[in-house]
Amino acid sequence: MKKRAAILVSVLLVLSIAGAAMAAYPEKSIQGLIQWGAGGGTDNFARAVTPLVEKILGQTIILQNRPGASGAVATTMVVNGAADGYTLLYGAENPANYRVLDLSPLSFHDLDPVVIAVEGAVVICANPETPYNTMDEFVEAAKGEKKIRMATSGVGGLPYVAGAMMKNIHGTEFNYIQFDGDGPGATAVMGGHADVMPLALSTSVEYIKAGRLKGLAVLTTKRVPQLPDVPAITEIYPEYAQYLPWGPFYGVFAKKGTPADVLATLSDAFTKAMEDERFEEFVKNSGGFKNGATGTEAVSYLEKFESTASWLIYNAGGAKKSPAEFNIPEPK
Amino acid sequence: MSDLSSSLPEAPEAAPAVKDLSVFVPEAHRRPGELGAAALGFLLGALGYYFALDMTSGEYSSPSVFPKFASALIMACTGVILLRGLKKDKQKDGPGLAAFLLPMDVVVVLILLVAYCVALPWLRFVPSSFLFMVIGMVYLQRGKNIVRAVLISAASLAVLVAIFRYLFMVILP
Amino acid sequence: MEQSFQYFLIPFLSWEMMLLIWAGVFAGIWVGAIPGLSVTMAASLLISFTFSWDLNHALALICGVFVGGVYGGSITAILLNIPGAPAAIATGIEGYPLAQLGEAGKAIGLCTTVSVFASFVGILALSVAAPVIANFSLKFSPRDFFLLAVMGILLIGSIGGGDPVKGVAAGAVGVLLSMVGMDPSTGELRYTFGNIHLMAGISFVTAMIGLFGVSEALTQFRNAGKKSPKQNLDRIIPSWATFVKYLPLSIRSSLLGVFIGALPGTGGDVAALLAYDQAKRTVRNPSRPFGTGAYEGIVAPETANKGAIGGAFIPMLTLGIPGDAVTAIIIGALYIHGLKPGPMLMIETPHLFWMIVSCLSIASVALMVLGLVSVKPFAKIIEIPKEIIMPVVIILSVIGTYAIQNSVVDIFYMIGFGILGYFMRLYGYATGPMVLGLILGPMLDANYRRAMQGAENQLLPFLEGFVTNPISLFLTLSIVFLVFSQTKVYRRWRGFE
Repeated sequence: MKKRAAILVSVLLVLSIAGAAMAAYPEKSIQGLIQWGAGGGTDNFARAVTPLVEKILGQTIILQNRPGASGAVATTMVVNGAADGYTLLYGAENPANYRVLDLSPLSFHDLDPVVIAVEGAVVICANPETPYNTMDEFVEAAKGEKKIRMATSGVGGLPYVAGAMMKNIHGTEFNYIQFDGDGPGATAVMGGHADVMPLALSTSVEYIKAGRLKGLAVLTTKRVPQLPDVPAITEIYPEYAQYLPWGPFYGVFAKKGTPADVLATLSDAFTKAMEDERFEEFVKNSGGFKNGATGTEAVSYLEKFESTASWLIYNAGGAKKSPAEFNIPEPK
Repeated sequence: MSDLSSSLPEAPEAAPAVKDLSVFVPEAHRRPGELGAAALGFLLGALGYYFALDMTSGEYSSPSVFPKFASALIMACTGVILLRGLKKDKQKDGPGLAAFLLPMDVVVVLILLVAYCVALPWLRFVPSSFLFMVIGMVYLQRGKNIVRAVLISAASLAVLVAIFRYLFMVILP
Repeated sequence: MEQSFQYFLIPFLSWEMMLLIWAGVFAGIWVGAIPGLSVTMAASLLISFTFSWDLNHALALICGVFVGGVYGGSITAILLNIPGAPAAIATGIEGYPLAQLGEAGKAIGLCTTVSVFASFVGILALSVAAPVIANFSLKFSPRDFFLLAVMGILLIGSIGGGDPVKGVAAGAVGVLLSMVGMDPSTGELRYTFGNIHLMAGISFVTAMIGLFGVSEALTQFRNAGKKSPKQNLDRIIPSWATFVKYLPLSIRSSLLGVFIGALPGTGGDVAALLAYDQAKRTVRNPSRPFGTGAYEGIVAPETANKGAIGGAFIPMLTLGIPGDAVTAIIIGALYIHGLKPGPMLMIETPHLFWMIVSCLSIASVALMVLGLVSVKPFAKIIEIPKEIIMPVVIILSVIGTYAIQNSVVDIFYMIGFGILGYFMRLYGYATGPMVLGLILGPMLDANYRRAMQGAENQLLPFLEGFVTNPISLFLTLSIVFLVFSQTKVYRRWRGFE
């Protein structure tokens, strides 16, 4: 009897200590590493959501930009740190392609998603002075004699992958010109230094509304509310459905192996912060959509993205290594 | 502006124009180790070119174009410097190579710098920086004013930490 | 019009905004002066900090920091030969020799006065010609950016010290080092040898701090007995006559600055370098020979980098395209505060445009006052014996380098560059060209390749572009002229020699 009581007491004691430890997170300030430079989409997202999360967690999150090597530098730092939830990665979709591009042996499989916060759509944009006004005309022109100049943000980036989709479906070849990112690429298309660029909705929506760019189609299955006049790609070419939904996303990640309760605390805090109307307003204005996936839902989202993107890059000839080497399944 | 009334056009250029043209006159003698420095530069260019050979090439816009161009330029320039250096006379009664490159004060500061780099990861930023400043100041003042050196080091470190850690939220190493 | 004026008055009618602008300028001067702390960093921190504030207040503070910060970078360049920011590199070329002659006070005083003037030129251009300049800046193709970078590289001829061959060698090493890391366009790794730190590339600010700061400190220890120069602080405010004398140069350089600032992706650093170069080539009777403390060599870069502030806002406010790194962050701030930066911004929220114009104006006035007040205390810094100041400078360089991207490895790079710079100086290789190569290398590489890709990798169409496009033709001819102006024939004809 006494023994049992002793066991009971000790179990309770352990539980309460564990409980206390659980309640204690976060007991000190958290470090947030941003994968991209100041002023970029990832940075904006991080700085919009973090003050709201800080209020909920009751701890400060010290944000630092650690750009470099497509975000592989920040990713490596997080993976090299401790799996205690005190170092977070604010990142975009890039880690999905590190392995096939041979930038880093890391991928989303080395991270635990806290939340997939915001996702965006991709719009195929053209300079207003180009002769094609619809997706159909554009595809015809692309099949013609003269190669169309397509701006991209580098091999493996979103515009490149969108170009790869077009190549797979229509067999069109483009003359790729690489710029430093979506913003500089969009500027070049407006100035006529490139003809076309598949751009994130967030970058292009204001330019399309002002007539600085021509929106040919949105790479989604449904039209987006921000651009009701631009057709969804599947309205014209249903074949694209196999790759969709696909697009940029921003999320927060922790090192793989972070305790489940810590992860849950974080996920809850971010989910709650994202319900704040100021964040909703930010998402709407920046042309994105709230995703909010956490846990296993987020993991399967990442796996689907990885499979689509890495096989497209591989088939377009942009990959250094085959996705099969890493057991990335081919998309159905 | 207060001195609008002053009638004479006061101008900074009123200062004596010291025309120091010595930099434009080629030196007759080569400095100790001058050839070695040029040779090292040449080696850097050659290595740069060698490693650029592994990069993708074949088109005018390949990633290897600029690395090759820059490496070739380094080799060409340092080659010229090397040849010119060979024509110059060796300095007869100047300082030796070591004395020219590394006077005592510089050696000590360099050793301090290396020690600082080694100490930084495990002594952390604040203690290692403090030690560096104190030792540096005390040595450079030849052992005088030790108390002042400690005070100045502590004060400037406090200001730096306040600005960087608390205003700019930089987590110090 | 009346409405615009009302919007312009917004900051004047709110004592909070006035206070924030002044506080911003004051903080900005310090942020700029400390190497490693940049306006970009300060602005991105302020965005989190001002998250719950009213947008107008946040913008007032950021505008103040922007104006103060660009100015502050020059102070350390003049006093210690460590540019607080890349935009101040050119200022140090003439400013530091002046400080060594005991004229730091005069140099900073002149720098402050012309800075305020140039800042107003930028604001004026922003308020009257923004849409025109913005549309013109869009016309700049990758080929033209390549040509601009080439113009910048020609500066090696001016700052390379006595021996142009050594200058070119140092510049080429800089370009080579700038190639280290992941090639942004293909993702190919160049000179990384499998190292993640090398993959991220070598930050030119790291190199700049090492090559200027630490190598300067080491060089100073060579001549141990030399006393720090005594500073003459009698007349720090330049006379009206002096100001008028430099007026043509100020106007020319600040307009150049406005324009370079308005080009997307190029900012005050490129503007200042180009302005210094054109001053050196065109000013006939400088106060002292260039390189030994010519006041013209301070006026030109200082007016250019201040003009670039107004310039950077031009594409940002009219098109939503950032003119430089700081305006890129301000665009982010607008998003976070629920606005939609883009071509419609001026139509949907016209008050924003005039309010920023007004904030920048107030900040410029604040700069005049705060700048002149702080000349004397700042100038006293160099009178501190170098045995005391130099160890502090080294630690400042260390912490500043670390703060750029929170990387300990950067500290090692920085110290490595410092030691390299020390040896380079001993053998007559100037460190300036190397930093120049590091800054301009990526701009040269990326834009050359873009232009080539645009010409489908064909040599002939690529070359054709240089003469058929009017902007490219103008820039090409300017480069030909710049090279020609260095020749004996030209200099004799214009009476330089």
